[in-house]
Amino acid sequence: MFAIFKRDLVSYFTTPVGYVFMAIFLAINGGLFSLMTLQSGSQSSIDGYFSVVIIILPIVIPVLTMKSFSEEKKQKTEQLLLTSPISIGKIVMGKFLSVYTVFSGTFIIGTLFNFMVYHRFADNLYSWVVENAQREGAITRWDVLSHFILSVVGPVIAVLLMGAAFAAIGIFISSMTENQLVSLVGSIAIMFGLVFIGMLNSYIPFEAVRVALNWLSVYSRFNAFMYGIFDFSAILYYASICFIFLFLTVRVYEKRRWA
Amino acid sequence: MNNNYNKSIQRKRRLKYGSFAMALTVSVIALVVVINAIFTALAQKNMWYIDMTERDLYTPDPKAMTLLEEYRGSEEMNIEFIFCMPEDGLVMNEMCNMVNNLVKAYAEEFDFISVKYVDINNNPQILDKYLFTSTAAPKTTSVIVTNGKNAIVYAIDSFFVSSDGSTSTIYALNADYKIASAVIRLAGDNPIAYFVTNHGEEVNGSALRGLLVDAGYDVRNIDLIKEDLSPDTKLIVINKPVTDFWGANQSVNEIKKLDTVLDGSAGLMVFIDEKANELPVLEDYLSHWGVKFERQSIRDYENGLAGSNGRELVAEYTTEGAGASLTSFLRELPSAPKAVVTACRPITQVYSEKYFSGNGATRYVSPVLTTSKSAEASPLDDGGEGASGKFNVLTVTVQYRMKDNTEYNSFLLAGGTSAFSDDAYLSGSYANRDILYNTMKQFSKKNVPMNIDPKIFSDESLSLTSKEANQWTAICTVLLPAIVSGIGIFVYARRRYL
Repeated sequence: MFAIFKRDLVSYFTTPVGYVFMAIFLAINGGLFSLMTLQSGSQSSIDGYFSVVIIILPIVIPVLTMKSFSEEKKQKTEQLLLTSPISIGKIVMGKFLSVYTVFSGTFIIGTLFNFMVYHRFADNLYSWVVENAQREGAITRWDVLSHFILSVVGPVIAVLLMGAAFAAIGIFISSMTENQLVSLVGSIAIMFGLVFIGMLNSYIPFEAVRVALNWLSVYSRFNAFMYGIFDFSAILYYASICFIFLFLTVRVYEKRRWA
Repeated sequence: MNNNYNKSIQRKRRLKYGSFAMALTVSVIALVVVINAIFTALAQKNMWYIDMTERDLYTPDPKAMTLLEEYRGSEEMNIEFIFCMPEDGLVMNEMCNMVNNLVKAYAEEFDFISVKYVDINNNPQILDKYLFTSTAAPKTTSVIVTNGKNAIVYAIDSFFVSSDGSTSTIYALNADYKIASAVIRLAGDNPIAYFVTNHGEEVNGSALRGLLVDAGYDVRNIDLIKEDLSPDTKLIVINKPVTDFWGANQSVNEIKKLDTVLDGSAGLMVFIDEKANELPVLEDYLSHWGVKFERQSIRDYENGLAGSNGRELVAEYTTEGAGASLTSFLRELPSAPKAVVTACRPITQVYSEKYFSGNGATRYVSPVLTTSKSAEASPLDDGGEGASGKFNVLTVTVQYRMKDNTEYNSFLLAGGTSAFSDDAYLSGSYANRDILYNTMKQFSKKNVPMNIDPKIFSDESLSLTSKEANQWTAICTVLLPAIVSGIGIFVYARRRYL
């Protein structure tokens, strides 16, 4: 598995794909963050930033995943994979981990940089809390900063988990076709579907259907994190999506191997 | 051996290819979905989450919990919080979601609190069942709190604190206070509090009235000329009178009615400000309780709030006597909150401390709040005298009386300003509200929602100029991508040409 992981990871950085992805994602991430915070000034909203980030994930992650298996199929190197002594599960995991490493590394670097810039101008975070914390005694800058970091960690973890789920979906779609464009479009469609499915709720009169759609909706699950709640059921949900689509990918290739 | 090998291949192939494999795949996916559904349902029921907010927005306030502990174990207590839209709709509204999560946390802690969701849009007739005595028409974002006999309708805004009353400027969550207040109001302990009228008093729109309602009092207006006080009266409020009371020389003696009730166990709060005319009858009565409102107006330029020209000043706490006991819990805090008074008249103690009244009662008068030594009092009337120094701005007089081997305790809280209980000063950052509540708690009503502060949201606003914003936007958008692109070009060129 590690060999597959290393090979794919290196391939992202020996071809323009990885650099193009990182540059575009960092530019969009930085631009959105600036729009929601720096440009908004007194109306700055970190929740607003995260709610927009999850809408761009379905666009950027398929760029990474579209070639995972499609390329192997197109270049006929799939046979090598299918006949290798490594289990299909490890192959799939290796590819998934390489995609996820590129995505999560890029997101974490971009987020750290953006929040360092934010912190430079966030004096109100300290003066306002200290002024209104009369009843709690002395509060240090570290108390305020640590609480702020904790409140941001939840949404960041949720975005990373959502990225993992989307990466799994992208890899599955990639395994179904040899055409990278079809893989890209299919992945985007499914991911956007999962993000926006909860928005149909206002048109549905039946509570059972609304509950089911909310349960499925990636955006509804993410809401809890934006409100400051670290929801364990949402963590399980994202992990389950990841598992299901990786499992399906393994099943697809197992079928090909044994057919 | 070949047969065994072939059989093992066939077994493996069945698991990975064909209808059996398909069934296995579907079963695994179904199992994952079922596990998720069960876990989600259990997590919602048992509140399996971590509150990551800076101010513990979704965690019950310990002071509210302590107050509500008084009601635990009471079989008759059953308080239901009813949200007027299904729970899946609440999740999409940030304000409703916050209140819902906090109410659920309280319901998890206390058996007598439960949460329910009704869809008033699709089933408006449901409201008939809950709106027993309330005439307010709830919206889908409203919360109805009921004990089965009475119901209170809260707008969602009332669970928050805003700087100007609009939802766009909310800055704190006040739901712990409102939840505790709702329970107290519906718990059945509703002593009567009267607002006296017919002397130009501020009555219906008063923030003090809201405070008493939140504390669980049955608040009523009374015109003492036409009506009598109930024998169950626990509190009487005279808030900002302009004209005098009727006394012994008139056909109806309002003062006697007050005095009769205060001979029992009841309290009187009097707030008189600069705009009041001379009130000889009322002030004569108050002098027997040890207080005299001087016809002067206080300014303190050294301790006044900025921009108030010395009229809005930070009062000092006294440290001795009965008055000090009302503020001891505040003074013990690491950083005592400020009590603010504005447009204040000085209150003079008529007797030094102890006084034996004619009806066998003993009265002790004590200041609660004073100005600093740098205050100046200028006369309200032409020809009057001014003064400088430390002045009382809030005093308390406590009366102890024995009759037929029964002890009766009454109190008078006198304030030289009616603005002590203004909305602006009743927020959690000032001490005014808690001083009033502590007075009620010590002398009038055991359970009041005291010391339950709003949870202030963190201020994410940034202080930067447009130029800085544009510069840093360019940096955030371009710097890292430029570095990555540069590395990419370097690696690509090396691989291609070297």
